[in-house]
Amino acid sequence: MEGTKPTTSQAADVQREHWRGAVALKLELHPDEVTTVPPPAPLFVLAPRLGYLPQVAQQALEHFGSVLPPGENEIWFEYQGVPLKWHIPTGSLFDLLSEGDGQYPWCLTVHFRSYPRNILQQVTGDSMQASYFNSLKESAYVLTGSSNSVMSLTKKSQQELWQNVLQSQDVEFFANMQKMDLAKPTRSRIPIRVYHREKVFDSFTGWKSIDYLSKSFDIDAEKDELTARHLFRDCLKSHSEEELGKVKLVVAGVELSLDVNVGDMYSHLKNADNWLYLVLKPATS
Amino acid sequence: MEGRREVVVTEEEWPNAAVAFARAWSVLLGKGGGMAGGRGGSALLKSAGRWEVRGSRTLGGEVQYLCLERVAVAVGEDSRGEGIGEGSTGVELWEVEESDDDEEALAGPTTLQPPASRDSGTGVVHLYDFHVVHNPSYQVPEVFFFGRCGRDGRVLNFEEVARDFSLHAPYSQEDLSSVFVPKEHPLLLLPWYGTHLCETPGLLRAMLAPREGGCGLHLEPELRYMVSWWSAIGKHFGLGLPLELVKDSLASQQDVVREKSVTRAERADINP
Repeated sequence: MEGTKPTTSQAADVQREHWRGAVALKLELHPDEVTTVPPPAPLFVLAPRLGYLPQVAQQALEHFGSVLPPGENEIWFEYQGVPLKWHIPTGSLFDLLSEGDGQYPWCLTVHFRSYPRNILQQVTGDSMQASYFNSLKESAYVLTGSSNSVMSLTKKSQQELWQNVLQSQDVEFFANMQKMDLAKPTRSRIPIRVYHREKVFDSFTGWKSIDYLSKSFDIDAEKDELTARHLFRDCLKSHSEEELGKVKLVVAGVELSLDVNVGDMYSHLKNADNWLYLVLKPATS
Repeated sequence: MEGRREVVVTEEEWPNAAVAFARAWSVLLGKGGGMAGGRGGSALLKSAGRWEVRGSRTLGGEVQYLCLERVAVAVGEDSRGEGIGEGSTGVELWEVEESDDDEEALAGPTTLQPPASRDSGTGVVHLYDFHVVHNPSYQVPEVFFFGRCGRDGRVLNFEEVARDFSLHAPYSQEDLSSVFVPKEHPLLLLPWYGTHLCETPGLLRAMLAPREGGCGLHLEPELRYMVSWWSAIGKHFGLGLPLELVKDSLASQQDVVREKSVTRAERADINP
């Protein structure tokens, strides 16, 4: 694919597929929270890639609510014994943590009690929306030198945009972005978030085995073409050429060559918060 | 008309800025905080200890960050309505699990100076850690903080944190609740708290703009930046540096340095 730029309609297709992507989840209620015999059947639900796990809370509660012990409901998810950070977009979380080509469905344990406050930020009323807009503000600052375009949104506009994200309404989302003046980068910097996993993710390794970096890169300033390889080997210097041979790059659920141009990746595969999420994991995983 | 330059500290400038700030803090508060106490600094500032600079290994190499840890904040009765009795100084502190990289830079425990209000014997102490990490998007320092109960290590929730600082800062709990925000610590990847960031670059631009009559502080640029930045942030924790103290102690030191270098330059002119 080197050297061939996608056509406008191909680009639009890629973006649409990216937006409509979802992760199939199989949710099982943790045994400690089951008060009935037999235990409830698991819940199968599709979680939008560009959304966030807690957005399936209502469906999960409808399914499991009747068997829960008394108490307040605070949903959280666990994979391989490790609580999952809910502020990472679902698709990137799945790409990062799952083994193989992606498990279908992704089997998670769901909890409604004993929220692990020491490990996870709490999800209250509008935490998800606040977290999304904080990300959007930060990327706006990187792209234009100011967060004003996001900060000056009315509550109503914010709600609209957030609904577009939750329901994967790509057409409405981009129309709103245009209207709200959020679509015009004035600088040549690309905001990127990298999640890197070297080992299997389980209760021994957990989040300590994950490296995270939030940074921006100037596409014009790089003398060489800004590919992922150049980014890791030459800009960040996080990986040697040899080490790059042992990892794979996954973006939006697809394994991409390290020689794909980062600018193109950004245009077509950026998330709803205007960040490009790159996942690096062992090539053998 | 002068262009409005972004008032930022770049990634390259950050390590020097962090070190300069830590050093200046030591100078100001080194002698048991006595100087600060006499000049309008809070009791909390007196007992807070010193900033250290630590390194943490990330994907992009090593990043430096500032730490001020185990700051003992007296809060009267515990929000659960339980006080503690005397003889409770020997607390077992529950440690937040930190990445291995931090351990190599630990300089040893900071000496705790119990705040005066504990003498009543019924005061509860909450222990706070403050970290300042450089934010690469906004190109400003970003403060993160985390609190736990000194007695049982229990992690403090948002309401408790806002309430604790409202006892020491010139702000109400409601005010602080709109300034503080839950945020993930970018290096530890754990839930801490931070402050709303978007206003900071604009605020700093206003504070650091050259003024008629030159009433600004005469400090090296990075230190001036950090002191200005902390003057906007630190007061929310009752840790604001009194301006008079900064002007007198730091600015005069800088003048001494400047005089010395001027003299050297003059000498160079005479003896090329």
